[in-house]
Amino acid sequence: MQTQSINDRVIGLVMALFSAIFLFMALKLPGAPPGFPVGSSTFPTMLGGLLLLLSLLLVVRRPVQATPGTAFWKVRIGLGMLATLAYIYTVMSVGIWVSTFLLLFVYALLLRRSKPTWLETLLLPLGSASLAYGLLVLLDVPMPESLLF
Amino acid sequence: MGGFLDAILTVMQPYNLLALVVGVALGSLFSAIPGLTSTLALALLLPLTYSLPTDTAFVIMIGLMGGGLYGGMLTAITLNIPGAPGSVATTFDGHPMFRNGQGGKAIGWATISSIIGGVISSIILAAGALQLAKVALSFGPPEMFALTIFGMAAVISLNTDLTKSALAGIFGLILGTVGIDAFGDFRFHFGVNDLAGGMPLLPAVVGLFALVKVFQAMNTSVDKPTISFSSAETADTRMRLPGVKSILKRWKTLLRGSLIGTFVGFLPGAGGNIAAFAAYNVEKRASRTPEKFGQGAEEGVIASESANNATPGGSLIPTLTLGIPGDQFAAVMIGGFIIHGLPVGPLLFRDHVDIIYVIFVTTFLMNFLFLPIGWVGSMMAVPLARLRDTLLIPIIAAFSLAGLFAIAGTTSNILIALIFAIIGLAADRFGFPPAPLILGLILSSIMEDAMNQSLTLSGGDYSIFITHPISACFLLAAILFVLLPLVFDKRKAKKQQATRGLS
Repeated sequence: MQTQSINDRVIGLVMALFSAIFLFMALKLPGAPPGFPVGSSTFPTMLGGLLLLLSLLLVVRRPVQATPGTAFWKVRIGLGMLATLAYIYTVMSVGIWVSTFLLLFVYALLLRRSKPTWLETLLLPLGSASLAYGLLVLLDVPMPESLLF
Repeated sequence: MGGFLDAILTVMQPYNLLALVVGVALGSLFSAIPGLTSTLALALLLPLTYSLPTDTAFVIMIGLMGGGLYGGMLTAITLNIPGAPGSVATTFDGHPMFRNGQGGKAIGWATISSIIGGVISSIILAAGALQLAKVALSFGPPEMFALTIFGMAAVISLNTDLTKSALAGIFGLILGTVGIDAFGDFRFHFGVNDLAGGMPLLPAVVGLFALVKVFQAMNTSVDKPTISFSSAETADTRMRLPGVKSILKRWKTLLRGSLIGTFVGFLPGAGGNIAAFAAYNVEKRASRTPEKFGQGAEEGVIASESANNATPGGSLIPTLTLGIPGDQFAAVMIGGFIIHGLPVGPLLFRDHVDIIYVIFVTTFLMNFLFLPIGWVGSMMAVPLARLRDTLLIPIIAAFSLAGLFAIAGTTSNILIALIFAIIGLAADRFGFPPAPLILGLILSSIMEDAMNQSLTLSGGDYSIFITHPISACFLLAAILFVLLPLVFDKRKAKKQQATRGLS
């Protein structure tokens, strides 16, 4: 419960900072054109102000006991995201089917479980990637011209 | 009536019937497996429906909605683990029936009750929505603005931590201001071309509801405990339908459950689980043998499941006519309207009434698919329960990626989805709900346009939102929605303190 309240305060501060920057940017937007009471900046400015108020409320309020969620940052998750980034930048040149299979294979290796089997780590990603690829072909989605499939 | 006939012919086309079977089956499957939800299934399929005809896409979505409420009873009865929140009350008597060797009978009653609940509520939907839409079509900008505020308040009040829920909602509204606005100014797109037209909705949905599951499984997913059944218990899980006579004997329970479910579904913020609890309690009170409840009483299963499956008919009324979603699934489904270029709210009834009739007919027809799907499912209930969720992660990931490709054929959407997956991880870690964020993203431009138009009408006078009676009512309702839980929580805390002081 103690860590929860510290977390809430930190998150509140981060969000307050974000809303302050957003509010600053919103205020710099063009205001109401002549003859109009409202302009591009009206709505975002209100939202920014409201977000700032609520984030500060999160900082000062008494801690509320919350159910802990999944950890936000772990090496496995970081590796999974790096793999996804690598996928995003190579998929168009390598090909959807092959790179999707490789990415799913990496995901399967990163999953937490006791006794991984070949079926789970290799065949399932292969099958899922093939299914997804087949669906894209079936739906007639334009594919990039790539090295492999 | 012509509209209905056309819609029946449309839904009856082989292509659409297949889509309906796929939707209901997938919805049932996702809701039967604990940990997976029909909202996840919708997030996975929504991008893929982009390239389908609009009617087919909505047939699938409605099918997912119905199946998503039906399938949860399978694991509720066999394992005492509700696959979906709406089936919590089904465990009270469904699981004891299974333990008594009447698993197949319980599944049979759950199926019949689901069908009857769904059919009754779909009829109320068709009648109610068309009437309410007539009223809603007369709404001007102030009413529309108040309506969007009310919609946000309803979804924000779903979560117990209102501050965080409201923060998530406003963050969503802020994300919705990205891109070109009504005055032709570009805002907050930081020179990124993909954002100039606005924050794309689909990658946000896929990232927040689907891709996030993949990363979460890298940290917390552990093998499910192996569940053992004695042979006597597993012997009878094949669906056994009750006879017509016994169905007729239970007509009061069925009708009460269906009406309660439809009414609770209509209330924004209350979904299948509240409906099922309410119907269960009413039935227990009405029963001449209340002591049998909890020991395997058929009426318990009937009340819970008829109410649970009657909620779509109720919740689709505000979703379709006003653009106010009753729950998380409906919030994501409103995204489906936007993707297919349809307006959200009353204009749907003026400009695209054909799709409305397709939705009515689908909401009615889908219920009858529970029979074959339940029959197959009843034989798979035990193996399904043993399925490790790590097995499903590659499939979820593959469908997320395929869907993101299907939207535009580029990788920029995958990057946006990845960013939203990170937001989703942080939200889950720190206790922020994702549904208000998505609804904020959806309603942002509607809310802003309605506000700007109202203020232009009034010459900048904000009292226009209070002087228009309907608008004032919606705003008052919004305030009540957010404030009432606060008052109740305070009372509860006081009571708890009092009892603690006594002990």
